[in-house]
Amino acid sequence: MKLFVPSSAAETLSQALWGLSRPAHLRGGNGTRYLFGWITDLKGERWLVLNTERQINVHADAEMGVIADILQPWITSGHLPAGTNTQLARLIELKRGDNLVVYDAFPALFKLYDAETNPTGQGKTYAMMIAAGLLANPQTQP
Amino acid sequence: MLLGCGSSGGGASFVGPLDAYASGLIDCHSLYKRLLTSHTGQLFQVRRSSDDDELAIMPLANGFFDVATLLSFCAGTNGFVVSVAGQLNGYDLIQPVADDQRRIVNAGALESYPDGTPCMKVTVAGSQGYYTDLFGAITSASASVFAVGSVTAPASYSAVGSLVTDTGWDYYGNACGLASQYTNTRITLLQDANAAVDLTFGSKYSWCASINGTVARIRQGASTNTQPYVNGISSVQRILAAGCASVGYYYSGAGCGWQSQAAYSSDKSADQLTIMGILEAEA
Repeated sequence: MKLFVPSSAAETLSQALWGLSRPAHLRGGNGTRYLFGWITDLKGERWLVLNTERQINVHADAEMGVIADILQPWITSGHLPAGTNTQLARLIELKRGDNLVVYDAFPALFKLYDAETNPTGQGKTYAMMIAAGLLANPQTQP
Repeated sequence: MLLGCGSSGGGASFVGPLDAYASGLIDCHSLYKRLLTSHTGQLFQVRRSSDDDELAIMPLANGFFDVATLLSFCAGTNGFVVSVAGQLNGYDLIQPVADDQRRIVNAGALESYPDGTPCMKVTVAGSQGYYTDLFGAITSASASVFAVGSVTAPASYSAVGSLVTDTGWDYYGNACGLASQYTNTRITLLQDANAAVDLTFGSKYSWCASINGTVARIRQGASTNTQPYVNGISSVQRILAAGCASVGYYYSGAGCGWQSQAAYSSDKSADQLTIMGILEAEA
């Protein structure tokens, strides 16, 4: 499933996520640079387009410094628990050389909104994005 | 022929099928075949899913891509197209987003259309059934029709990466849909190979932007439930004069909407999206 996660740093985050699988020193100039795409919604906000089933092979040299930097403001502002980065680092460490479903590593705040199970979740489905007026509905296009 | 052995690079006797058109092109691209005698480099770059390593795939002496090397590199795993080489001026068509790259090898086997012709396939959830057309078009003599153009990115898309995501295609059809949806966008068809470009839509919507260029023939695909629009005109088959054509498609149903154009972004420019279409012969 595709999930839209609000992130002004979507491009940087996507690049950092790809770096977990292919650290910078292994990447060529015209090669893959991002794990997920991103869009700008009709109100001008940026969203990471996350594939909830996407697995990556966490490289032995994977670093999560950039991801930690991106998450830190959320932690500082109290939107994410204080231990988020530590928990994530532990998970990455555990998965080195192994497969990781990226969505599993995302904090609940960025996962799919659900009134009962994840009411603070900010992730939206495609249909939710359209319903919220954040994306155009292709079915209404000529 | 595809699985034949041969040395990489071009043989002395090779003649590029687009040599005669080179002066009118910005660039030309094909996964499947070397198009110009002057091009001796790679056809495309592939990423395998087992370790995300990438490899350049070269043409064989007969011009076709080196399937054996591709399958060897992707043995037992999946292969995704990262970039397609610009064979004239090096304007490579690049999909830098791993999740949006088209699959060309599935579990060690070449992806193919139902008729066995190799192709790429979109694998993102919800988009299965999309086949891109970067190749699959050149297997028969009558099908080597293609177009290369450029579209100015909509102002609201500030990053090239956002233009090339599958979500972009899903929402807006493709680059041409994007062009039609936003003002201040344009598509310029710079060259076609045979004076007429056959665009066949197995699509529900095809959104149009004006094309300043050669005559284009628009034809509805064979898929059911099609409702193509060409500049707002529902069309089964329409011959359009210069300045009015469509190269877009949006397919929301099940099945394969493979007869259309593919578009990728070249990141050589921040606000230009290079588009191309390799178009199938009429079934």
